[in-house]
Amino acid sequence: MLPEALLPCSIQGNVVLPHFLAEHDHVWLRVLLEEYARFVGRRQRELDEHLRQPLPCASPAVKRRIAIHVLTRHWGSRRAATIPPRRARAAVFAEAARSQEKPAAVVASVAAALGVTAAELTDALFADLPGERLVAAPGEVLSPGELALRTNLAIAQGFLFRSTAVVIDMEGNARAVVRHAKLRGLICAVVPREGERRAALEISGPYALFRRTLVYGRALSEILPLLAWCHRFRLQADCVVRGQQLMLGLASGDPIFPGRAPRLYDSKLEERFARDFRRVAPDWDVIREPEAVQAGGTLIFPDFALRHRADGRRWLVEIVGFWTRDYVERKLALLRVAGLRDLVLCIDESRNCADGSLPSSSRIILFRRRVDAAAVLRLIERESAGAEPERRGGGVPRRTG
Amino acid sequence: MDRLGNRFDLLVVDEAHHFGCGLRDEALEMSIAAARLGLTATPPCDAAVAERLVELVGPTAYELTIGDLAGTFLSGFDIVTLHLDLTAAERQAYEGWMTTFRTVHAQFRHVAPGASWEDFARTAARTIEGRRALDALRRARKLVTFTEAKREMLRVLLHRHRDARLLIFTADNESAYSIAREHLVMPFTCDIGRGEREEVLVRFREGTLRALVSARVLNEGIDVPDADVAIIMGGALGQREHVQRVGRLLRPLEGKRALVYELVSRQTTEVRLARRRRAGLAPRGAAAV
Repeated sequence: MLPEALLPCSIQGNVVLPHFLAEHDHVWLRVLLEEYARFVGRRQRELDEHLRQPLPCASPAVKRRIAIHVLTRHWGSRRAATIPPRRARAAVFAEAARSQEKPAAVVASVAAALGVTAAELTDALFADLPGERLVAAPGEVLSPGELALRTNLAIAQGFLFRSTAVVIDMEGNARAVVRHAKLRGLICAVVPREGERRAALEISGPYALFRRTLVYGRALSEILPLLAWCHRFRLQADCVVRGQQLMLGLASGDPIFPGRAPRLYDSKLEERFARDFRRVAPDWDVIREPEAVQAGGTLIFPDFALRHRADGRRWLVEIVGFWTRDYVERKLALLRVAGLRDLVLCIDESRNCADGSLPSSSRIILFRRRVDAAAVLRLIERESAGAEPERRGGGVPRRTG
Repeated sequence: MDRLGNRFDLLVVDEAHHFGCGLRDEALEMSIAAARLGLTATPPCDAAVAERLVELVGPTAYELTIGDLAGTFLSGFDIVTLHLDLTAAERQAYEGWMTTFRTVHAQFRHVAPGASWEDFARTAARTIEGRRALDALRRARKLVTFTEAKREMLRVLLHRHRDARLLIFTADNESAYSIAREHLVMPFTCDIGRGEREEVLVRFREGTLRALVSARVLNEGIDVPDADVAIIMGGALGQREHVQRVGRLLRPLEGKRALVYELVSRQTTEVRLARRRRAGLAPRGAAAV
């Protein structure tokens, strides 16, 4: 993680504004990439020494150091040794301790015993150390634009590393964020937004309940690459920068590298529904894994949000796999508690795991093998218009299997 | 610690000097243990850090220095300080770098007489002149830790103590590797894998390796068996580092008297640093509270 002194920013009031790399930086980034390429096959320490000097073109010192930090992690290196270095060290230093000969004679005798030349043995001795490895081109060669985005990600994460808590307002990919928070032992609370049904997530750690702590900074900074895949997000972080407590804001559209794409769909079923719905309802946006919804002390993660582009109507869809009557009843109760009237439950009628039929509800769509996107659209349209919902196979869910 | 902190009533804080000055402190705060025992060979000199350590662990209950223990629980030791000259070329380079540094530093001290070193470093990092000054100081310090005279003296000492178990301490890894190549002494650095380092210590104990050269890794936390001679080429971390390095030699053995050579470049900043770091080894008598 970048040290605080390397974080380029300005401070306005209690807000810290990161200075991201932009298109005008591409010129010197291209030169930097060419410098790396020139050193392929040479020792890493030679490249390190070379990079301590300014580039042959104008470049901002701090941003250049960050870009070098990012590139060094991305760039590869390889070992060039005739024999394994550890074996070479074990043989040479043991012989040196035993022998009264001069170092050159010791190396020559060990080399002869190992069946290599003295020069090869000397080269192998430390060939695995970081500075002695040979610079190797990475599998994926970066463009100046990509390097700028990766550098910006490092800058943004550097600030989040110095944060005590973050509040995230997001749409899409919420489950991945909450999953990460849980895996890292963080506390994830839902913060209601006044006047909005959508809630924000406040993420921090247990120790933050007692004092402002930076101990969760690394885990919090790891959230950022996940957010980049959200349909939309707005993040506010409490940071400690230059001894001051400041607010950092990041949002969709900031020039930050998105990291590896998460798997979008858990199953073919969901993927097919999204595709079908876009086809039957071209005026609607389909958003995968929208925000978490608080209901009766627990969180519900709908699979989709459907949003009408013109009039802003918004419905949530959850596809239920295996179920029992009790499970569905509890789920409906939670939705009532949450006042969540615009959520459609799609239930696989062949996956009833116990006796008992489905409870009656106007917002249940039954399906077999494939969710009927057109039926979901009709349900939404009728419910929106205040009409009776359509139920497959009649007004009551049909029990099968 | 946030997952273990509520499970223990007694907390033993080894190498307690690592606490009191930063992020690690929170690990101790996350423990509910009312009984706490801190152990250290190098208690902090900074008053604010010492005060914070009292909050986190408790007041000093018992205190002895290495000097007090030498000859009883630790083996006795002698320190031989060798003052060595720079070559003419080294002297010229050293003075040039120090002039660059002193010019900028003096200007800063004039403007901010009460400011700390950290204040200077932070301010200097923001300007080209300041960065040049810091770089010049870094180069000057690096030069004096590994001079021609020190290399030559090392050659002499290695020959003189060719039958001893010997530790060589350098200021940085680069110097350690340079010595390893030139004298075929096994390096013991952070770049060498943990498995190989453990194997090296076993071979050092067996006697199939007679010398190790290290910058930081041997400083503390590693029990080096049976070493009896140390050569300190240079250091970067002051009194704490020095005490910990000397401590590597002091495992008691019947009739053992350890020998520490400290190589210091004459008429450089090293002279003052060496004098200050030796203060941590002076006996000051037992004090039970």
